Amino acid sequence: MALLAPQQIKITGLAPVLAAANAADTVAPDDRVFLLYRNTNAATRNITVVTPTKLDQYGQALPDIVVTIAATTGEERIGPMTQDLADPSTGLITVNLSATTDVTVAAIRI
Amino acid sequence: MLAYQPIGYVGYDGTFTPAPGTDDTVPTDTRGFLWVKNTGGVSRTVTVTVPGTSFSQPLPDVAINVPAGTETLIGPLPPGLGALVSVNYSSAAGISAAAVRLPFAGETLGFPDWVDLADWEHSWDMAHAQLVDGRAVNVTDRSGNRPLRLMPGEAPLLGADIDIYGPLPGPIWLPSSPRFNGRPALVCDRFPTVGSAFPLFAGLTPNTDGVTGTEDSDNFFNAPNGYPQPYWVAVLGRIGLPDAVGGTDEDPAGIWDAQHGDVGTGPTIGRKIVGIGAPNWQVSNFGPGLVLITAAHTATANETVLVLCCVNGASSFLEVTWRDAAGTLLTLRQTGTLLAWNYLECFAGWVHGPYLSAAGIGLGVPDEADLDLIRAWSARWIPPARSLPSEPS
Repeated sequence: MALLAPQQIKITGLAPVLAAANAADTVAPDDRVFLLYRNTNAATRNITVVTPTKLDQYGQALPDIVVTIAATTGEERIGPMTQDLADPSTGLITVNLSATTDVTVAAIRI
Repeated sequence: MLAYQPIGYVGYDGTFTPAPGTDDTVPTDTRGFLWVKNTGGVSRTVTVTVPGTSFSQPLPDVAINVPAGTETLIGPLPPGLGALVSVNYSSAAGISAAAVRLPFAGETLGFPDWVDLADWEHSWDMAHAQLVDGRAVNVTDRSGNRPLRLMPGEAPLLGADIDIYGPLPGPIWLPSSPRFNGRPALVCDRFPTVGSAFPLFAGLTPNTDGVTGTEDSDNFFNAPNGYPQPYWVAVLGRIGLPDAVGGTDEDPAGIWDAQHGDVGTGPTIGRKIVGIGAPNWQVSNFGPGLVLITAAHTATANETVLVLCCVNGASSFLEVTWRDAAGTLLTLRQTGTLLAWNYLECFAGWVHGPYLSAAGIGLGVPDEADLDLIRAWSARWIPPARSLPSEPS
């Protein structure tokens, strides 16, 4: 697990640097941050943003946010990484990955 | 022109279109950016046109090198770049681009944040308060650079001197107030005083640097004389504690205030402003001449209100939006003439004990479309009129 440090977009340009994704990564909540995933593997992957229990409604757990990233050339952007998604016990947002091979990720801030 | 593609929670895989030529445009948006990919074999230069001049010199454009086989993200693209940002590519060959926008948090849930409702000069949402021991000591100004801060320093106060009390304590932060259908809010509670002709309440102001006081002209809006007319103020609040010790909610009570009287002042918004008028919603000033606009609606502590006040000479108005006990949303606007004062300073609390959830200041004549948005947004947080126990319980 790694804490993803956001890379700030600038008017002079940002060349984002993607790093190998882990089965579980975290990011600090920031409503100007999104996650960029890329997948070069021949199989699709599922990205899961864990919804904390504080978002439960009517006694029912809010389902996690699941985004499928396409095979080979897939890329997905997910956000904003709002405070509502943060786990109250850690203050962080957790993002899980169904398989990590050939998947890279970056947190990017506008 | 490139249209924005939104990022969201269902994923956005990115649709990049080949550059139509060497020139393109993108709408300005503080949450928008241009994503350029260069799949060609040579580097390209993307040039963002910067309009305007400074000291009679044209502002230089921004040139970004995009090496072969790489990508770059350019932004944010604020309104200062013009309604449309002009972009030039040194060559369109191998270039594809997308205009991408990251929505604000509330937008993805179907409603925006307070900061996104209007072209505020300053906006404060009590959801963005910094706390010490449960009290708000700083509320971020998400539109400008004037956070609400503790009110320190010297300020004459109806026969007493705030110096012996200051700085005032910060208001109590309420994470989920039933007065605002569960929104965060502040309550400016009363604290013990000695020798004051008036009770004092916890308070915050944007007109302090945290060291000197509210009466220091260095800290006025547009020092030294404040913002000129026209300007407008929006407050989502509710009458709190009575202003008189042992009083009731029949006593004067303000929800947003201004006090300076030398060259003008901002509006004091509340009911039955001290010494004048019936117990209706009122906007008044204590600057050169005491004038007011009074809404023909009795103000009570049972109602959460959105108050919109425009100070614009003979075209000034006060507008109040509330719900009756049956839950019907009602809006009343009273027009009138306010004198040619400037907006020097403002505060919440101090001599009144309101509940506050959001406030903002706009310069110029308000855009009615913006006011529609503010009303629609606020309606969600205005409960039916009813008595509620004091908070915190």
